[in-house]
Amino acid sequence: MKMVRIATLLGALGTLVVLVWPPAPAQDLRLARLAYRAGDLDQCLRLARRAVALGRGSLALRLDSLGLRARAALDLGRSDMARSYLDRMLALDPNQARAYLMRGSIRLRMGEATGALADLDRGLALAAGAKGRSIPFLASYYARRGMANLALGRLEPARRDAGLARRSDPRHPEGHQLSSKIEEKRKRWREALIEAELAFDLAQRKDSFFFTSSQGQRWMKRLVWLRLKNKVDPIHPFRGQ
Amino acid sequence: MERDNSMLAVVVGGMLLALALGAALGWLRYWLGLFVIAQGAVAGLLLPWLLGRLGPCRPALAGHPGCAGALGLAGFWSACFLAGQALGLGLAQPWFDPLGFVSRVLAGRSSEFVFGVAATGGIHRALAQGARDGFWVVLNLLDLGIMFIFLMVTTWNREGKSKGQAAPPAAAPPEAAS
Repeated sequence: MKMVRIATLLGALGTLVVLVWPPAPAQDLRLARLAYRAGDLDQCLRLARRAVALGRGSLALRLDSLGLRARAALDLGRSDMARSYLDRMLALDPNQARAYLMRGSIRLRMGEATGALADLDRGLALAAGAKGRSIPFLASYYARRGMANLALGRLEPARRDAGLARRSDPRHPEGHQLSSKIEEKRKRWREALIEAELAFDLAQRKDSFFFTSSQGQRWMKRLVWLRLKNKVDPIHPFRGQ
Repeated sequence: MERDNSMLAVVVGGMLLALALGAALGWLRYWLGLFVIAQGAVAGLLLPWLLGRLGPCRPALAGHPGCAGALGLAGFWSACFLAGQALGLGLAQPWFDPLGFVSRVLAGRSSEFVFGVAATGGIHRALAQGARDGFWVVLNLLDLGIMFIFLMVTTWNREGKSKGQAAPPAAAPPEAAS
């Protein structure tokens, strides 16, 4: 009799939960996207996970959920988690250009140039062949592939990628940063400085707080180093021009 | 099995139950959101009840610890409940980071979904939104306050008997002078 009472109570509680919070995967995912746009990454993760909880949702919904979670985890500084989400995404559908591109960027950041190059190559090939949904920020992925090539000492493919990145979006800072690094490898310090100045200026125009980010700090250090290399006053670089 | 009716058993039993209940409600809180005041009321009433039903001791039999004692124990169990909630919340997260979540909410960079019923000027309306920084702190203090009050007043029985027990025999009236 006691077990019957307990089972009835638990059943009633379960029914209440389902009635008050009816399962709505599509709505949860829409709210997760809004939360990501608003910068609320914890809510984005929670809602994106809730959308596919208990094995609900179609394949497209599960892919979207994993993609959102990967982006949120990456923004929260958890590259390992982002990578595992992307691995799961690619296990579900091996033709996801975005997943390859994101995983390639993460691997590049983790210092795995060979793996990054393979992922970025595959992602860019899939993106070029994709019809309908275009991939935004393609210039940055060309630039990242160039960085991977540069890390592997392949100067000519890196230069080609820098050209592709700048053609894709001439105002994208990463393309110019890549060009600067290529010029640095070729020991053309003046050209390297000009490209680095341009890259930093474009990044700063896109985001006024870029200089406070870890990437901004790295770029700034390199810029000062290049100014010193070119015997330019690092504090007042344009004095006398 | 004989029940241990010492005060120590009440304190430790309450602590373990507060941790377990906190973890369960923390896990639910992550997935469903915080039902302000209702969560505190449920936890504040469920914990003394569970302590009486499942715990090693009926608190009433251990005697009333006095006002300061009841206050201190309610505070201690509330702290254990909060620790349990952090644990449950962390276990529900994709990776265990309850303090990181709280710090982001306090900094206004994240939010927690809260819902409840609010009354302003006699008009009642449902409330369902993301709470952050100061507002989140106020709502949590409100919820915790309700739980604290329930823990303080519903655990103990001043007469030294639990509800199901018979009252101790009344003292025999003094013999009337013949």
